Amino acid sequence: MATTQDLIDFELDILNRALDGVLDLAEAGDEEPDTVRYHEMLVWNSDMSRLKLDLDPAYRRGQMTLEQQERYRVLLARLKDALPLIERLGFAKPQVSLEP
Amino acid sequence: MDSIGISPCPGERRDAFVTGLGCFRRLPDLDTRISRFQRMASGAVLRADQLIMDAAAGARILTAEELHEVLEHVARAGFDPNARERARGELAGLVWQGQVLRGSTLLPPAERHYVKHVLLRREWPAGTSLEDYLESARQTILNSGSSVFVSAYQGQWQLAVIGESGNWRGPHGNEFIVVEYRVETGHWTTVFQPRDMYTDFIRTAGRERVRWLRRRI
Repeated sequence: MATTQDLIDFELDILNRALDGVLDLAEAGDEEPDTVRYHEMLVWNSDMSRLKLDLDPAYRRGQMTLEQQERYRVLLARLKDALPLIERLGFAKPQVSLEP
Repeated sequence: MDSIGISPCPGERRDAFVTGLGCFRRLPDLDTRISRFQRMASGAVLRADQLIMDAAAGARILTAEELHEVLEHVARAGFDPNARERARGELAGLVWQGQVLRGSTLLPPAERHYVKHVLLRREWPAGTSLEDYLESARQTILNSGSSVFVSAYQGQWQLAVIGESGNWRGPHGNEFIVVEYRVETGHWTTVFQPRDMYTDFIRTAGRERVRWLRRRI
């Protein structure tokens, strides 16, 4: 049975990988077919829901370990840096404060 | 592409090709569009696709039999077997079929979706095979309890099916499976379990002209 800490670790890993994928997609420009960009947009929407509904509440309620808090702050900083690329792709912006 | 005498363009990007007239960049969707055109020219296109477009345009209301015909067509369509998608950074380092994926690794869409949504994100139960994953999509499409709508995204008609994930819900899965089919390509564009069905999928930015053909949610 997965613990809350396991779930948070998993979500942090997924969100970081998702951001890697979005950065790659932005770099690829028009090389990627529209169907790929469309699919990635939908999944990114879902990732932004994970951030808003799962991860951010866990952080704000103090449910993360110190290490997870640090990983979360790094993720927020990465998202903040990536905002121009996210906007350029037309993908959903994070619906949480990017300030820790 | 070799049959019309073009080949990779030396020193250029992988999607650039050289012909007798010089180097040209290949359009990303060109292969898919050619394949689609060939199908249309063969007359195989496609009563079911025409029904989707008619329904989407509001030109007709599909009968139960017509909707069944459309959904059987969509269930058979699957992902494009001829396309290839880069694994990209998100999947880099994962092992698939004995191979450590790199960002540049090219995979058929069905495999890339499977690796992403089943192996990495665990939206489906542990032990779900590639064929199981595709079968879950087909079951979702053909289940009379699923919801169906048509819509446009950047001018492309699409048909979406939303069904309860049920036994296909994995440890990090969600309540619904969505399958979306694009008329232009004749294939699925996505099969996954969104965190928030309405925000993430139905109301996604750019989706227009939503018309429900069957609504169960």
